[in-house]
Amino acid sequence: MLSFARRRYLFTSIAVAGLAATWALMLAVDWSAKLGTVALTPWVALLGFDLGIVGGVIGGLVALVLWIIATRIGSLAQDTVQLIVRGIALVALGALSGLAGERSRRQEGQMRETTALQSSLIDATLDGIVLTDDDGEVLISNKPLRVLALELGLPLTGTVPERLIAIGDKMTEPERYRERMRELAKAPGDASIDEFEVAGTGRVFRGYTFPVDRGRRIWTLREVTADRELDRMRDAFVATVSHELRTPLTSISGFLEMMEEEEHALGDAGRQYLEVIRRATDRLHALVEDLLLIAQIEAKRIELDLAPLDLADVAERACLAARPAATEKRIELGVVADRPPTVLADARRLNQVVDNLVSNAVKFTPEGGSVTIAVGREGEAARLAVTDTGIGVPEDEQKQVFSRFFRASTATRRAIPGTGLGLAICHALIEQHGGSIEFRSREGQGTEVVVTLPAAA
Amino acid sequence: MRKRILVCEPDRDVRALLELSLQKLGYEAVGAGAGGVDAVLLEPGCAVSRAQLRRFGDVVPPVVCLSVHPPEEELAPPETVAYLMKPVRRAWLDAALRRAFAA
Repeated sequence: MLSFARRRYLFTSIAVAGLAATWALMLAVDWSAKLGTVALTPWVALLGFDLGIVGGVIGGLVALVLWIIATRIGSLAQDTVQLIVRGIALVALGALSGLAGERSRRQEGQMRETTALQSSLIDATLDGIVLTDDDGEVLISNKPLRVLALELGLPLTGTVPERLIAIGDKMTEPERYRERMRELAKAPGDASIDEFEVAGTGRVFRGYTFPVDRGRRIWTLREVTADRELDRMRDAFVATVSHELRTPLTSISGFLEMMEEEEHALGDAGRQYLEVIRRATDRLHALVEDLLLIAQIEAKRIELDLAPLDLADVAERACLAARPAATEKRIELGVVADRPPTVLADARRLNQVVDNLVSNAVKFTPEGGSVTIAVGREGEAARLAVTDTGIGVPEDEQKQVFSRFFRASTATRRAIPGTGLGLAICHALIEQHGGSIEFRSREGQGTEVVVTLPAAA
Repeated sequence: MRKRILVCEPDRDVRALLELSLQKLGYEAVGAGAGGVDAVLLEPGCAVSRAQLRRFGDVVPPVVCLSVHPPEEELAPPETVAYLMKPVRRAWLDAALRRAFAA
């Protein structure tokens, strides 16, 4: 599309040239004045339309003068009234088209203003954004994207997936990266989020793509190096702390063991103190182990020792383990088994998950409530659900329950101890088993955690 | 005769605990510099070179690692017969040493 200024220049030139040419023609072929009026009209309109109201008046006057001259030197004599009426009509026409031009120019100005605002809006972000058509060709992109494209050395031509694939060699995992990009190119209707690291630079980017209308697609690119660095620092810090805790914990736990052997030498009070110290020590130990476990799971360093397992047994075991705590709070605790299929799982890890879910349920259920472990099937899959009548988790917090260190406000408000690691561990372990875990809860009414695992073939 | 076990542990309190535990399990705990040991309790973070371990004889004695780090983050010597993470229970230590002498 021609720019506004260039178009205006072009239109004005055409209008002036047209007026001059028509007049010359009128003189040359001795046109009648009537015909002359008709012939001059479009040029007047064009001149007026494009130059605005002043241009319109001037155009009308110019046409009028030309026409008067043409009439005067023309062969046909003209009636004065007719001459005046035609003159007024020409000037009015010029003015009208000028008015129309003024309006259209104002609209165009507004449109340009809006476009400028929109482009400064899409430029005013740290994210690179590009819109592609249904072939993946670039329709529009913002400034940060162009800067990132330059930094990443993206080619300047081709479709977006092609350009992205072209820089595969620069990534830390070129094969996985290219494979992902090819998948994206093949599934234009899918939304997806991917992260990739540029080898040697430590720069990490997150790409987000989603379809809009008519096969078009938005791609955004954001540098997340700083976020990943923070994650790394947090992980390193947590690892260091949990490792450093082990040395003093060894002394505490070891000498406590010695003291427990000398228990007979202590009075009742002393024995009670020892018990408290043992409980606290075990809790610290469990915390340290949990921190290590979750770090290992996230680094994919845990290997599962898979074997056929009866889910009902797993449930019974967890029930047995939680029995003392449940009895103490007069909580009804039981297993309901409905022909669960055999699952292929790591017995130790799965027991850990179910123990955790059941002990959570008991922990968060007030005195006199109930906790049920139901095992059965859901289609082909095996299903284990732990349901309680506990304090629940508020709805707006539910999507965070599987995040590390997350603790529900209902728990912290009541000062119920915990680390916020249990469900994160369960989630990671179940995912590694190829299963899924769901959390449903109503504040003040209870919670249900449902684990589904693929049945053993 | 009691088996002699070298304790390589940088933390004073943990060292004292290990010495006492070994004594209770019927072993003799010896410190660095002692010759002729039957097994080594080693904190892998406590850098003991193979040359140092060899000082106790031509054959490096079996090693039981007691570490604050998981095995994948630690460089345990090839003579390691058991790898335990701290804190350890005395029963675990007992089992690990039995395995060391059974090997």
